This record gives sequence, C-alpha cells and structure tokens, in this order.
Amino acid sequence: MSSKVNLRNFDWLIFLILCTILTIGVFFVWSASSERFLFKQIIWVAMGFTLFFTLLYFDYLLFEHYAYIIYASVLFLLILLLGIGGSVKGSQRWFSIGSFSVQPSEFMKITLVLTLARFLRYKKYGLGLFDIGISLLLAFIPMALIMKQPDLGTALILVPILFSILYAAGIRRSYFLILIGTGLAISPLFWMFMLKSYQKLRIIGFLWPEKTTDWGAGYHRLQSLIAIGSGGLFGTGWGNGTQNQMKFLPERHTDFIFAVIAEEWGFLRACLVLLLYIAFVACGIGIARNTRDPYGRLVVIGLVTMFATQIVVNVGMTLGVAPIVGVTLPFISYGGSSMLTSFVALSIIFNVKMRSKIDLASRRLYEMRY
Amino acid sequence: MLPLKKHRFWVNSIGVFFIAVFIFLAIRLAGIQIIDHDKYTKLAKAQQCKKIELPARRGSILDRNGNTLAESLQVGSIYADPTEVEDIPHVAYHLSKILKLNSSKLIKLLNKDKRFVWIKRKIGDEELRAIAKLSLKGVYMSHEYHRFYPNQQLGSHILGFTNIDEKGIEGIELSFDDMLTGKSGYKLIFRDALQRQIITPDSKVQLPKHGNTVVLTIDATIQHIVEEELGIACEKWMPSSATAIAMDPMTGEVLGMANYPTYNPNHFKKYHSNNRRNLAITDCYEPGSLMKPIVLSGLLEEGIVRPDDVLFCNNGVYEIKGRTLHDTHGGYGNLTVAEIVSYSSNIGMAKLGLLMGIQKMYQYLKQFKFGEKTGIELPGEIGGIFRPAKQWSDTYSLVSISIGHEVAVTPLQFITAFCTIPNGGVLLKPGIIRSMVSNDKKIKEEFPHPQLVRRVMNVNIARNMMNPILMKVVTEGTGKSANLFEYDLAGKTGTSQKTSGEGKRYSHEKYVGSFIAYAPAEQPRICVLVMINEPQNGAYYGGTVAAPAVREIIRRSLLYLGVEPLKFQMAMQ
Repeated sequence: MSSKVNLRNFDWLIFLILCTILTIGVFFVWSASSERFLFKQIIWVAMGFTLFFTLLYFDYLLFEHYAYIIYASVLFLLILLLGIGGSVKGSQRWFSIGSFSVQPSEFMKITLVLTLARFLRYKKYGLGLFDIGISLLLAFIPMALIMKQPDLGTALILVPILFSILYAAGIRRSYFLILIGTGLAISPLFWMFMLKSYQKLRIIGFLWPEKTTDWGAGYHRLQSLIAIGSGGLFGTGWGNGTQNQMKFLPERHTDFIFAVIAEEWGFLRACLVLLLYIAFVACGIGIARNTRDPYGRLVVIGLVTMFATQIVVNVGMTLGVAPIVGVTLPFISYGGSSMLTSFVALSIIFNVKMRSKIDLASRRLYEMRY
Repeated sequence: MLPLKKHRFWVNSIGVFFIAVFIFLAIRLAGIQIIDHDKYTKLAKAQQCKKIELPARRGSILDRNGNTLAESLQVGSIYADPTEVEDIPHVAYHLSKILKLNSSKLIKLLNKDKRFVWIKRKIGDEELRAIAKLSLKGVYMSHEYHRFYPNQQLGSHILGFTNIDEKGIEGIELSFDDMLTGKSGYKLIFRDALQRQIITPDSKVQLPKHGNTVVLTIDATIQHIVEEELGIACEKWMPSSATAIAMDPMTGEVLGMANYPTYNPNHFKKYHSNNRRNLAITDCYEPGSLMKPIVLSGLLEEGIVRPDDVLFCNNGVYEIKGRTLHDTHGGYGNLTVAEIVSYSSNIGMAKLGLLMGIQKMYQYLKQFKFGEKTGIELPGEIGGIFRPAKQWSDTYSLVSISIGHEVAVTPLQFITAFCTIPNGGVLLKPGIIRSMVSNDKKIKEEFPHPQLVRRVMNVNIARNMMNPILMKVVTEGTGKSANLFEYDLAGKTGTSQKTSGEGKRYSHEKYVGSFIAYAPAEQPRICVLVMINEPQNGAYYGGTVAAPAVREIIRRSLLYLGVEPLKFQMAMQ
C-alpha cells in the first residue's frame, strides 16, 4: 500500500541529534525528580521510538488523504472534552481511558499542520482571500476550543503554525503584514473575552514582573531566573543544583527543565543544548527546502515551526522573556503526551524526507489509489 | 507553480527567523548566567540559607556551698511534620507516654493534612532528652533557655531577675549580666522551598559560649533562716518594711540578706515594684542608738574617756541649748561610760559626744565610710547621709550624731561599720561574690575576703573594751530579749523616731526599731542586723521588735554552722 521507504534517505544527523537531546533530557528529568519519573520517562521514550518507526512504514500521503477526517475527529474530541473531560489542575485537558490520559489538544497541533498543508498544497502564489479565510477558520475553531479548556500555551502555538504555513504556501506579503497587524489589533478583545484571570495575571507578571505578587507569575519567573543565574558559566554540576534539588524551582521536571539544565550544567553546556535544538530546526528546514512535493514541504514547515515555537517559548519562559503559558520542551520535558506528540511529528518529517524523491506524476497515481 | 527556488527562499527565511530568535535567547542566557550571576547567587543564598541562632546558656548563681539559687534550663518544644510521620500510632504512643498527652488526640493531630503541628511547648529537659533518644521520624524539637529560681523567693532581692530575653534587670542578674550572659553561636542551615531543613556537609556551626557561673558568699541555709525569722517578726509587728542582714564579721562576706516585703522572681511581674527593692542598700535610716557604740569607740580610741569613768546623767531630763533630751529607758543618775551604752542613755551619750568635739568626731566617723557607698557588687546602692563637718551646727550636731541622728545609713553600711568591733577594729569591704566559674569549671575570677579598707580602732579597744560593753547590753541592758542560753551575744539596740513629711520634725508615731548583734562574743562568727521600719501593734523599741529575730537568727545559724553551744562547752569542762 505504501511506497518503499528509501533507507538511504534516513536522516542520521537528525536522528543523532535526537538521541543526544533525549539522553540529556532523561538525565535531567532524573535530576529534577526521582527514579520513578526516570523509569516512566524511559518507557515514554521507548514507546515514542516504537511509534516513530511504525509510522515510518506508512506513506505520509495517507495523512494527506485522510487529513480532513483526522481534523474532524480531533475537533470532535475537543468538543467532547469540553462536555465530559476530567479536571486536572483546574483545566480540562485530558481524556481518561483506563489508566491512560489522552490530550487531544496535543494531537491538534499536528492535525492542523496536516489539514492546512492539505488545503493549501496546490494553491497559486498570492492565495485568494477565500483561501486565507478558510485557513484562518481551520486554525481558529480548534484554537478557541483549546483556549476554553483552558490551555493557553497549546492554543498560542497554533498561531505561528498557521502563519508559517501561510507564508510558505505563498501568501501575498501585503496580506501577510495586514494579517499580523489585525492580529495585534484584536488582541485586546482576546484579552477581555478569552483569558481567565490567572492567565491575565501571568501575562501581567511577565510584562511587569516587579508589580505582581501573584505566586504563579512572579514566583515562577523569579525562581527560574535565580536557578539559571546561579548556574554561572560552568554550572553547579549534575544533581547539585540547589534551586532544583531544594525544590525552589516549580515544575522542575516538566515546563522549567531548561532552568535545571542551565543551573546544573552552566552557560556553556546550556548553550550546547540550545545549539542542538538550532541544529535540529535547521535540519528540519533543510528537509523542507529539499522537498519537491508541496504537501510534504508545507507539512515539514508546519511541524518544524511547531517544534521551534515550543522550544523558543519554553526557553524564553525560563529566561523571563516569554509569558509562562505551560509549554513543554520537546524531547526533554517529562510527560507522555508531549513525548509521543513530538515523536509522531518527527516521524512525519522523516517520512517526508525518505519519500520526497517521488515526482509529481507518480504522486498522482498514488493519490488515485486512495 | 512557482519555481522551486522561490519556495526555497521562503523556507530559508523561516529558518533564518528561528535561528535569529535562538541567538537572542542565547544572548539573554549569557546575560543571566554570566553578567547577573553574582546577583542571582546572592538571591539563591538568601532564600536557601538561614542563620539559626544557637542560644547560650546563662550562667547559674550558686550559694557559697554550691547550692543553686538561679539557673537557666533548656525548655524544649516539640513539633511534628505530619506528612513525614510514617507510623502514626507508634509515634503517638511514645509521645503520649513521655509527654503525658492523650494518645487518641495525638493521632488525630498527626493525621492532619498540615506540614507543621505543635505537639507540646515548653517541656522539661528530661522529656526532651527522652524524645531525642527515640529519634522519631517527622518529630522535631526546638529549644531555648528559661531562667528559674528553684528556691522561689529565697534571696530574691540579692538575685534579682531577668526579663523574657534573659537579660538581667535587678540584683546580681543585673550587676553581673555581662558575665552571666554567654555568647550565642549560630548554625547555618539550608532550607528547601517547603521550609524543610537540609543538613549539608558545608553547613557551618559556631557553638555557643555559655555564661559564667557566679558563686555568692550567701549561705542558702542562713539566708533561709534570716528570711524566716524576719518573716515571723514582720507577721507580729506589721511594719511597713524591714531588713535583715547576716554578715561574717571576720571577712565582710554577706551570709544572708533579706527584706520585707519580698517577692518571687519566678513571677516577678505579679509584684509591685516596691516589693522588688533591696532596701538593705537602697534605703537609708537614722541609726539612732545603734550609733552609740561607734561613737564611744571613738572616745576610747582618742583616749578621752575610759569605760569605767562615771558621768552624771541628770535623772533622765537634760537641757542643751534649749533642747531637752530624755532618756527613754528611764532616768539614770551616775552611770559609767560602759553603762551609758548598755542602758542606752541619750543624755550620757550627748555629754560624751560633746567631749569629743566636732573635728575629731567627724574624722573618726568618716573612717567608717558613712555617707559613702560600700561598693558591694549589687546595683542601686546609695551612700546615705553624712554631712561634712563644716555644715554641722556648733554643739547641736555633736549631740544629734552621738545618739544617731543627723546621719542616715543603709542597713548594709551600718552592719559593715559595726563589724569593726567584733573583728578587732578593721573596716572591711562587704562582699557578696566569692568567685566566678567559667563554663568548663575553671575559676575565672576570685573575690578574696576579707578586703581591708582600713584599721579604724585598736584591737584592744574593740575586743577588750567594746566587746564587754556590748555583751552587757544583752545580759543586763536594753537588749535582754536577745539573751541566749546557748551562746554569748554582744549587741546594741536602736530605736529612732522617723522624721515625718516636710516639716522635718520627729514623729511620735513612726519609729525604726533595730537590733544588731554578733556571736559568739569571744570568737565572733556571725553578725546580724534587723531593722523594723514603722512597726505597729504597740511596740517599737528595737529591743522588743528586732532583738528576738536577731537572737533566733544567731542561734539557728550558729547551730547550723556547728558552733558548740556554751552549755555543751561547760559540760565538757
């Protein structure tokens, strides 16, 4: 059913970067929590690899073909969640199936990429207003639902995904600028009607850290800065970060794990981690630019944007330059949903890379088979 | 379709955008980790590291035999972190057994969803140790010191007391505060975000330096006797105040010092501040007839009279410069100089005083340090009143001073001056401190006694002339009620009218009745002064209100000190 995977096209460089990042991640999850979380994280990584290789077997055209159906199903899950979802930390983000909990908003990030790429794959340069409108609708409906959960971080990540796919799909530059301008113009409305008070506090805490005494905003930011700052050039050594080990740092093994790395490993090695991520993103961009298939290219651009945004927002959050919105650091933060989503996204990027030599003529043949 | 080149440019520009953002983050990272490193390290230290004071134990105050008069005890408080307690019934069982608490209530307490609960506050040393030995998980203790006076009001005016921070406020606690107070140490501890203590190898400890122990010259037993007998006298005579001092006349050491009204330093706040005054050094009185032996010793010292010289005492009424003197104990005709003191004749004494003259009288009495502080190691001492000779009126002052007026002394000052007679003529500096012992039991400073101030009279005058005269006071004279079967006493009564109010006129209602005596007369071991201020219930003579108390204090103290009673000595002979 699927075209042959060309093993020679397997991207060993990204794979090596991935393995390095994963190793660092596992060790720092251990340092920031306990053996119990370490073992669970190793299991998540193992499951991630299994999923990664399994999905490689299927042609990504399959995703292209079923994109709208996938989109509809995930959207349905999001609507369902608003009705019956369980409550975790005051937010409704999870489905509990037995002992597992599923987070449909995580899937939505990938689904949106697949759907937008499908919708915009053959559009002519400039994109009509109708196309732009439909794209916005495709993005904003799930965004609103996710924000309602409320999961501000995931919802906000959908915006750069939308913009970069529109950009890569060839939106007129004037339209693009108008779009950004409109976005900024309506943000006050968004502030008034969409945000919950604690989210507002977090943004206030980010913009004017000295003015807020809110525990969630000022405290998280300050503790993270103290952790990173006391790391210095060479760090305190793995397992010796006082901010981490003495539990001053909140969300140590999940959202703020980069602060742990910076504290215990110091500036030089924290930069190494950043460099690994830069290489990772650069490789992803490299795949996109070498892909002849427009669908594949847009998918890779969307997924690379998803990764890059998450990394930037997460690291920016720990460095006090981005609001604290609860975004995980891909492949490092502890957590099943985040880990599996990242593996699925990477698997799709690999899928595109390994099958991207397909020319347009044979592509049509495949499409007709489905 | 656009050429691939165009697409590549778009894709590249997205990549360049992200890489630029990454570089921005790296710069920001460098700013925090390298430029602001010191600032954030300081902030981290501030929230992680805490200096915990290790309190120093305040030194004890002991009596001359090592009995504890004041001590600081560790009082502990037990608290628990219920989330850390694993075996609740086990912990509750042990805690309830040691602390005598209800075990089911403890279980309830330990099941609370809290991180901190008090189990019991301010518990004793033994309970604390018993709990420390168990080392129960999740059960912690904190401790501090608390000042205790185990003998309650015993010696309260000497000891004084401390405030809640163990700072000396009165008495020895105040005057030796620096020595008693130790130097507190500290412990650097690291706390995590949940305020839990983390012991790390680099946590630093500076152990506290505990305070020095002060050893007094006071004998707790004699102090007890003094307080008890003074209490009995006060119960009988209902005075407004009273003071009793027992001193070793040979060394000047204060063996006991008590005042009425008194207080319990353990609960000092419950008492009026008047109760807390050490009247023995803070108040002065006119000594009255107590002064007579001192003046007489001066006449003997100067060779003006001899004890068996005879003077006419005008049968009880005598006028000098328009002032009429009376002999309160009845009219006397001819009296020997010795009898003048024994029978306490004011007229005889006035005549003797006039014989001495102003200059000699002033210079002689000045040697006894009247009007000056004795320098005892207690706070708040006053010097009394003894005006310079220039201010004396021609004959009037000589008469007044000879019978103990126009001069005011503190009880301590007077007993110090009086002790020159039993000790053979030397003025000693009174002392209440024997030594200071450091925490490691080494003697830090010694206060040797006796400390000679000066010789004021010849041994012969003191022992061979004054001693028989004062013995006669007790055997035949005004102090008969102090006569003891067991020991020979030598003493002097005193009754002085108090000046009332503004008019400086002598009152006929307010008196100070006093008695001073030492024993055994031939080998003095103890000298006791009792002053009863404004006695009621119809009596005010020193021989009536004060002498029995002095007698009992001497009798009981000498028996306690193991001095053989006369009867026993005679039987042996």
